[in-house]
Amino acid sequence: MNELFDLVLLGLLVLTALAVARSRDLAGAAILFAAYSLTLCLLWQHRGAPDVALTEAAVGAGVTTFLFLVVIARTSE
Amino acid sequence: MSVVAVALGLLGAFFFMAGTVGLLRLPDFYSRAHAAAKCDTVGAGSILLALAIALGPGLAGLKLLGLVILILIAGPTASHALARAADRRGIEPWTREEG
Amino acid sequence: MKGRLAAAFATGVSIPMIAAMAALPRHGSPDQPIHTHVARHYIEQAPESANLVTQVLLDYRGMDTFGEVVVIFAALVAVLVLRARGERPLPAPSPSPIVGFIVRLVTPFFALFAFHVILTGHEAPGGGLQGAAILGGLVLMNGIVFGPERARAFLPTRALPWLQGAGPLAFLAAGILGGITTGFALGYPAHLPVLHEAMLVGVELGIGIGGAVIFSRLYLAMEA
Repeated sequence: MNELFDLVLLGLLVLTALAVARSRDLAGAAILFAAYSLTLCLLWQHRGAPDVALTEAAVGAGVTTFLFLVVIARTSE
Repeated sequence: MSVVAVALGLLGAFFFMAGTVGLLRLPDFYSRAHAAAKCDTVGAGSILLALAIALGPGLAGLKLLGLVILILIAGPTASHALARAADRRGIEPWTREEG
Repeated sequence: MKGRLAAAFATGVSIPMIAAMAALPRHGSPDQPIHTHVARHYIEQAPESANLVTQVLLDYRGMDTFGEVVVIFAALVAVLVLRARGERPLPAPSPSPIVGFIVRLVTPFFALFAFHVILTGHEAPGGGLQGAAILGGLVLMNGIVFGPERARAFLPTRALPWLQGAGPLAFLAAGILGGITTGFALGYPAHLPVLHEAMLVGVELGIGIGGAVIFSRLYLAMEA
């Protein structure tokens, strides 16, 4: 059961990564990247690394997404 | 106790299901945002509530209750901001006549 | 053609890696190589009641963490050099009253949680960088909703040059203090529990506040 949960998360991770790479829309890619980070955060937590999970959630899904969106908004006028 | 938790969990799963179907099937941005908001607030909220009840009294349950409150605040605000931004962009709501 | 070549290359790289993954010892098994060499030494040498993650991050691998902090600082320096000029006034956004109210409502709780993560970071999951990201995210959220001026108001103007270097500076202070008390740069005096604790909290606070200021300034540099 535990291994299965990991496998599902890993599959989701690969899917979101592919979706980021294939996305034509920059803002959409930034949001998909946040989803990728959240999946990775769940995986870290489930693998017993809460420190890394918290970093992934705060930096990967939080600040990075904000900064990406600000840059996209500033450069696509 | 556990009956309530299971019922709430199933309710949350139902709202996630309905919200996802709505997200895929509904015709325009506003109705899709409306469906997605149900996932965020009612779905996640009742699943977290179910987990809090299943854990029983304690610090972890209290933290989950705090998360429920946060989700009840953040979900509708995010949906409101989305819909407002779409309205400002000039996205027209879908109507029956034009299709 | 290019796409097929890339796909073939990716497959060629990933199949040996997946095969190697299958040959690895089971997750968490005690005879894994990482558990039989230095990890044992780290666990045996760590003071009792210490959080091992913190011990490794700030003590055994303190130099690495110091390097990471300097890298984040260098990122800010690079952005500021690139965007030093060219300030242009931006139209102040007109936030929805609902969003404005909610952001004002959650801001103090957000800050409280960030400081909780920073201050308990040396004995629980969390720590300086995580707290910095939460605190920086708070400033960014206010900036996006109310405009950059509001975000700038969060940063103290006078202390700014010191605060954005708080991470490296705290590490420098801890390194010197540790050098005096233990004889090793970045050593933490286990025989002086109060100072030991104070140094850990000081370094985490330095990383946390310095990092938050750096994240905020990165955002402001791009907005201006």
